[in-house]
Order: sequence, then C-alpha cells, then structure tokens
Amino acid sequence: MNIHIRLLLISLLISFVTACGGGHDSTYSTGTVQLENDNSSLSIREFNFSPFDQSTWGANQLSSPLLAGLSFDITSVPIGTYDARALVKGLYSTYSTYIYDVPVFEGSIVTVISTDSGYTGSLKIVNGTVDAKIIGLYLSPSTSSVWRENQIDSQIVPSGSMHLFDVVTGLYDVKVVWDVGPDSFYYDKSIESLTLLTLTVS
Amino acid sequence: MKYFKMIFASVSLLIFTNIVIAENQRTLANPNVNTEVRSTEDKVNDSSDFTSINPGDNAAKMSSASSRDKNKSVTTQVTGVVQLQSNNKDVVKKYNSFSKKQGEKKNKKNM
Repeated sequence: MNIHIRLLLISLLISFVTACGGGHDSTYSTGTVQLENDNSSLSIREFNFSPFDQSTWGANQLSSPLLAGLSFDITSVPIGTYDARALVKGLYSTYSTYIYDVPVFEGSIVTVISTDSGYTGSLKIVNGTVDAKIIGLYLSPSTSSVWRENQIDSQIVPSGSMHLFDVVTGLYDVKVVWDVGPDSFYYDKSIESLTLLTLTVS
Repeated sequence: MKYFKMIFASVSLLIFTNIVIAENQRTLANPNVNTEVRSTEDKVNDSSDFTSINPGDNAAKMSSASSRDKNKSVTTQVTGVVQLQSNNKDVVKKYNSFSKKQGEKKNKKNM
C-alpha cells in the first residue's frame, strides 16, 4: 500500500469520526435543575437525580453537603423527565425526600425545594424483655389490610433493637412475633418527618 | 378417698396450668421505661408555610411519598447514622415497604 492510499484512508477515517461526533452539542438541548435547601438546619448530604425510566438513583450530585438556606444548580441537564431524591442525616437517624416526574425543558430552570415536612421518618423497635427474642417484625400502613413481609432477617435478642429508616410518614401498625408467648400488636403509630419513633416492645 | 382424688386432680391441673402460663410469659427488662419515645431533629414544627425567596413558577416541593422508590444508588447506600453491627443486637436497615406481595391479613379485633 503506497503512501497516498494510506493518507487517503486516514483522512477518510478522520472525516467519518468527525461526522459522527461533530455537531452533537448543538443538537443536545439542556436545562437547569436547581435544588433549594429550605430545611431549618439540616444539610442535604446527597442529591440523586436520574431519568424517570432509570431503575437506579445514580451518583450523588453534590460534591459537598448543601447547607440549609442555600441552593445548588445542576446545569446542562438533557431535556426530559427526571426523579430526584435528597438525603439528610440527623442526630437520631437518616431521612430522605423524593420528587418524581420533574420536567426539564430546554433553557429553563426547574427548582425543587426541600422542606422539613417532606422527609421520611424512622422507627426503632427495642426488645424490652430479658428472656424473649423477636423472631418476626411486621410494619405496614394502617390503611393496609395485610402485614406484608417480615422486616428482620435474624432474631432480635433481649435489649437489642431494629432501626428502620426511610419510612414514609403516616400511621402504621406494628406486629411483633416472639419465640415465646403471643404476638404483640401496636396500632396507629404515627411516623413523622425527620423524627425517630422508638417503641419498646414486650 | 374420693375427695383425695378430686383434690389431687385439681392440684395437678393447677400446676400444669401455671407451667403453661409461665412458659408463655415474657419478663420486662424495665417496667418503668417509657415504651414510646419521639426524637425529633432540629426543625420548624410547621414548615408547610416555609416558602422559598424566589422559587419560580416551575418550583416543586419534594415529599416523603416514595412509593415509586428506585433501587439503591450505584455509588453509595445509606446505612443510617449507626453502622450495621456484626451481630444482630442493634440492627439498622432501610424499611422494606414496596413489595406487592400479599401478606397475612390483619385482624384488628385482636387489639
């Protein structure tokens, strides 16, 4: 193969690559998402933002915690529909807040606002006995007619506990199954935003 | 003799009943402990009216309604403020709330 043919092939290759990649940015419409932390005091530790049809939350978009009262912009977001999750860590537990189907339009700014009232709550079940183990723990919304699945994988020993976080706020029923004696039931326990409810069961 | 048999049977039944009851009883670690405690983070109690300075027309508040929750993040997964213990004494985990599986029916008459 002589030098002219080689140069021709290389130039053709370069032209092909340029044609494929060139002009991509000019046709890729984007918008901006602004996260506003209106919490009283808690910093947002993580902010996940991913297309609505994606099954995972993806990477944390924050390089450092977003302090209360501040906002953070994510620019060059391809237009589309997105889901978002923000996460805070408090003194007692970890909590999340969500928003779904956020539309991002070309050249526009969409603001998502985090407030104290929008977060999940937590529930801690403490085994208050000295001689019985918890072998089953069921937690379901009071409006549900079934207990759903067991929340524990292994038994909870006396004075041990199970700390469940990321519980959507609302009223819940609790069923505790023991290795001895009858089950215990606790009804209409209120799980509140940014609050850890500790139930000592026996 | 007849009365002796009756008394013997009654005492036996009483002992047996006590044994069964004792087997099904649980002993409280501390009867005086408050069984329900709420620990609230530092927040405004009613923040529903807590508005941003200039949220814009297309602003939307986030909420805790996570019924369409996605899988864990590919980078980090929250384990709570307390790390997962190697034993099962104090376990921290995410509430499993989104299964469509049918569970055992509740019977609130057992309250």
